[in-house]
Amino acid sequence: MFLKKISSFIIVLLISSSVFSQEKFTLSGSITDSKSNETLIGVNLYIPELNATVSTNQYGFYSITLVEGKYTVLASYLGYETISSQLTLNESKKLNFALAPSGELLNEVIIKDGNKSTNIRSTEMSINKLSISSIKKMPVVLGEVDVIKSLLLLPGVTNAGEGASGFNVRGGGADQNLILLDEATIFNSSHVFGFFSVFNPDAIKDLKLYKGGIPANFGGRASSVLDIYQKDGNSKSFHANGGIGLVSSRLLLEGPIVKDKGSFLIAGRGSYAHLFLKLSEENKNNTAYFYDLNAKLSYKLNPNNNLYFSGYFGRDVFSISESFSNTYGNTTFNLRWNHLFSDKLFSNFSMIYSDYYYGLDLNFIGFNWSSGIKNYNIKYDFKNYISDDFKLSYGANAIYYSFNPGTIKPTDSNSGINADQLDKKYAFEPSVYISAEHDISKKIALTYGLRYSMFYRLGQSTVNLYENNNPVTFNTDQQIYEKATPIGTTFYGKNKTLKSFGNFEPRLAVSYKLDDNTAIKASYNRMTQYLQLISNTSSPTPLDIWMPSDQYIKPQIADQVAFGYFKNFKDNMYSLEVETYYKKVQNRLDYIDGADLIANDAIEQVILNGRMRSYGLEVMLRKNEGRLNGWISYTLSKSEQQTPGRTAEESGINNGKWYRSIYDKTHNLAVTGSYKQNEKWTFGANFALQTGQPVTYPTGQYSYLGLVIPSYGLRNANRLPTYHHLDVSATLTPRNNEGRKWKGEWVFSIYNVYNRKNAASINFSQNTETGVNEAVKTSIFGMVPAVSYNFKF
Amino acid sequence: MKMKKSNILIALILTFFMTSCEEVVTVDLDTQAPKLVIEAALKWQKGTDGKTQTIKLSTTTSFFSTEIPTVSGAQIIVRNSTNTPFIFTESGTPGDYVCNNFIPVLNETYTLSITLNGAVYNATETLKSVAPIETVTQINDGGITKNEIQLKTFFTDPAAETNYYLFQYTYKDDLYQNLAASDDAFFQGNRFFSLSQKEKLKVGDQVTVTHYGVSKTYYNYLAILITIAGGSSGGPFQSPPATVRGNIVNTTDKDNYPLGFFSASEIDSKTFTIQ
Repeated sequence: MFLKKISSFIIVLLISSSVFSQEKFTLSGSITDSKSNETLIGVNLYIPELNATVSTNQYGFYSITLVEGKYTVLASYLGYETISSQLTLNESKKLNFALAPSGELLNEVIIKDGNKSTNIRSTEMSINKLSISSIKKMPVVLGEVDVIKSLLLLPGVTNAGEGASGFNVRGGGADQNLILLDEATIFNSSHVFGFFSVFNPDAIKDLKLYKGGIPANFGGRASSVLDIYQKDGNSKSFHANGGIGLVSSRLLLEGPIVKDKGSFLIAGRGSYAHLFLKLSEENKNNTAYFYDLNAKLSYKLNPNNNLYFSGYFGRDVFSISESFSNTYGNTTFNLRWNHLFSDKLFSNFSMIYSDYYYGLDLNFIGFNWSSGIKNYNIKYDFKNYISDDFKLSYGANAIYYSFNPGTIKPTDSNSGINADQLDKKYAFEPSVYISAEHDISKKIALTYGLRYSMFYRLGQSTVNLYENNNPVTFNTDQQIYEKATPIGTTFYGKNKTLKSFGNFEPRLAVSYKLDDNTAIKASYNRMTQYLQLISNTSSPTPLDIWMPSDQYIKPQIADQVAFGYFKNFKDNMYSLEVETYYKKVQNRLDYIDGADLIANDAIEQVILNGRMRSYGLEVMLRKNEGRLNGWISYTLSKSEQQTPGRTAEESGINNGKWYRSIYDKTHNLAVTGSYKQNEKWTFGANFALQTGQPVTYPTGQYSYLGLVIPSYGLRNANRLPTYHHLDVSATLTPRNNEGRKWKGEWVFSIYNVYNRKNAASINFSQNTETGVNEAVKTSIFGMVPAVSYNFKF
Repeated sequence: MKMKKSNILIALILTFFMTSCEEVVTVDLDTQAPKLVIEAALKWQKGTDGKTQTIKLSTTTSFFSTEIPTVSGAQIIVRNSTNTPFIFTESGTPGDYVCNNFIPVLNETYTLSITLNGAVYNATETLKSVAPIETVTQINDGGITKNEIQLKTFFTDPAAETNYYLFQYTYKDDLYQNLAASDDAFFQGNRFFSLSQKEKLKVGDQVTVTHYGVSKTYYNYLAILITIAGGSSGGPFQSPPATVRGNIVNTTDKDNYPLGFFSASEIDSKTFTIQ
């Protein structure tokens, strides 16, 4: 029934699209790196005669339909030599470009012509692209290149401080980010609870962060989409690269399976800091390490068909003596098939699996715990390059989820712990979308689309029933929320629908070109999030579980509007982006006081549906070219949360008042730059400054059962001290590299140069030795010097 | 059973890096207007008559203050379900109100009534039983690091009913206490244990363990109270500090609620000397 609808929908589109084309010819092809055949994403093709542009999609494909004529085509991409090609278009043509890396010398890059006005012309806003080469230049703690931490230098992106996992986009929660690695959802993006990210930088080609104006092909999270593409592998010749660092080492191998047709890539990374633990008597029985593997196979069947297989597997392992052990990580697989129905109709079909596993053994109390989420995803996406000013994207997507909120086992027969399986949960999330990129005039470009998402919470499941359908009751005497006692249960058999949702999600973006170098843009998006991360900490922890929306947990619905001003100066040497946004989220979960979130089989009894709003101003000034490049970004913002009482009698959370969310950072300044001194030396520096994280300090104390109990006033009314640090790095490329196959480089870095002891937390408690109450600040990193060695051959 | 998630995580991070540093800092704090704190924890040790009971009245004060203000001049009466009054009178210690003729009965419902400065405070609670302590054993390779002296105190959870516990370990000549609130969800009907988790115990140290039978509402209250007694603010694993509202109502002015709780527990207690 559902599939029928979609197929008829697609047929209508195919028919309607053929009506447009008359007396026009199509130029199409793919754009690759001339050395590796790696496809290049987002390369701009510019046709000066018509002032027309098109850019390559995430598979390096482009298509543009023009009236007959003689044209110049300029293909340009940051870090590559621009190619110019003359052609006479009197029939539809295939034209592939192989761009040569510009000698890896950024100061020689000349991107004068082709690139002109693409960021001005396009409706894209609130989007940041980062190339892996610029991420690798940033100084980082312990020398571990970190994809997620690099995002924190962008406007509108923060996190909960050193060692915190995830990131917060425009005042949203880390759980509101959709993180995709080759289209597969990554549920936990951190190693070691947030100190490192799960992405091996060597295996990554490119990434794009959508903070707003999110196109209709994405859905499922309220705040942002982080789209990360893995490299395909070199199909020309065999290469290896790697690095040796203080924390971990990396090795990547890539090469052709069939020359120019097929390639493989395999990359591994593992930490060995735990080996140092063995050296100390106190820690000799402890281990703590992580590893990950990335793999990809690409094969070009013929000019119209490409196959890609990609996979990821990562784990963190901790154990303390034999009493405690902990393992967690993500697994993903994705099989994709690119097919060209015609030179104007590109399609991709994907079958994706991803999971997240968490396991914990507490031997000292005989307790074993595991939990996780699995999802199976099929996607079919089409892009129809109808004409040079009208492109249509459409597709369908279906995801099946299986949630394990917890399996509890005794670790041995005399443990005293009872085995238990918390109710497993199942859900199905199908969606369809259509989106048009429409250039209305020379000045106005529009992107408009609509996504319709559905969510079915499926059995088998036993659902608790409550009086008045209310799993949380309010105790008017104590003025507190309490768990309600179920009055009965309903059993739903396998694949029976417990609850279903359907939501239209409109997306709109418009750009108005003031002149060749200036544009103003506006966008609106609605996003629906059906999965909720059950977490009341300021950044996610590996123990947190995901829960599907159901009778009691409503889907989050986010509406965001953004306005922007974009200007390029001095022949695109500099660009300025200024944006403001306002975002509101309905049904943001809040937790009742004392909510127990671990191994809770009735989460609905401890949550309340609240709301969230955030707004801000973002400014980013970027220097794109020259020996020195980098950017300054500044964000002024506010993020608040409110959970009012459901009736006049109820107090709500924080007396029902709006309060600062933990993601609220008033000021956020980041400066990053790299300077290429000469062939031998490149220097990098970062400076980050943020308003301290909102916290709640005690407003008094009292004594109870002989304990000192701090008493608290309003939530998040205080802030930790301002957070800032300056980091520097120097990369040495020895001159004797020239002409050699083996190329090496040394990276020296110092994180937190002036040894700022940024507060990770402040504890208020009694010093039980002196009996005096104290405020104790914990900071994680002081100054951290590091060195790493990278090589390739 | 509650696990303190943040503590586990922080311990692991420290294992990984062996860095991080702690220092005592000066923080300017606001101080709220003083609130009445009622510590009305009726305790009946197994095998005793339970006649002597104490209720303590105090107020909140600024966080860094070294004195807890006591409250005198209150009239305190506890009644059982047949309305027998037990009168608590202020003893030599200011703020301590003592009754010497209390009659504890398991599952009896008691009502607390306090009159102070024209306001009347009321609460009701049922006296809960507790499983007897069977044995206390000493382990010399305990703790997460396997080199701590730990005590395990065994009991058998009554089957076929939900039980709530408070486990308290106190150490002679030490302000430190080890408190845990637990329900029996993971060990319903089984022989289980509570743990003394104080580090660096040594031979000759005296440890007193007390198991309390508590009501569901008191368990909920204790679970929050114990969490915030650690007093963490900020950090990636911060969860919002809760306001700990007890079961005592100011019937004269509802909004001006008192802190503390009226609880009634059977307890079992043992003192153990580390060998």
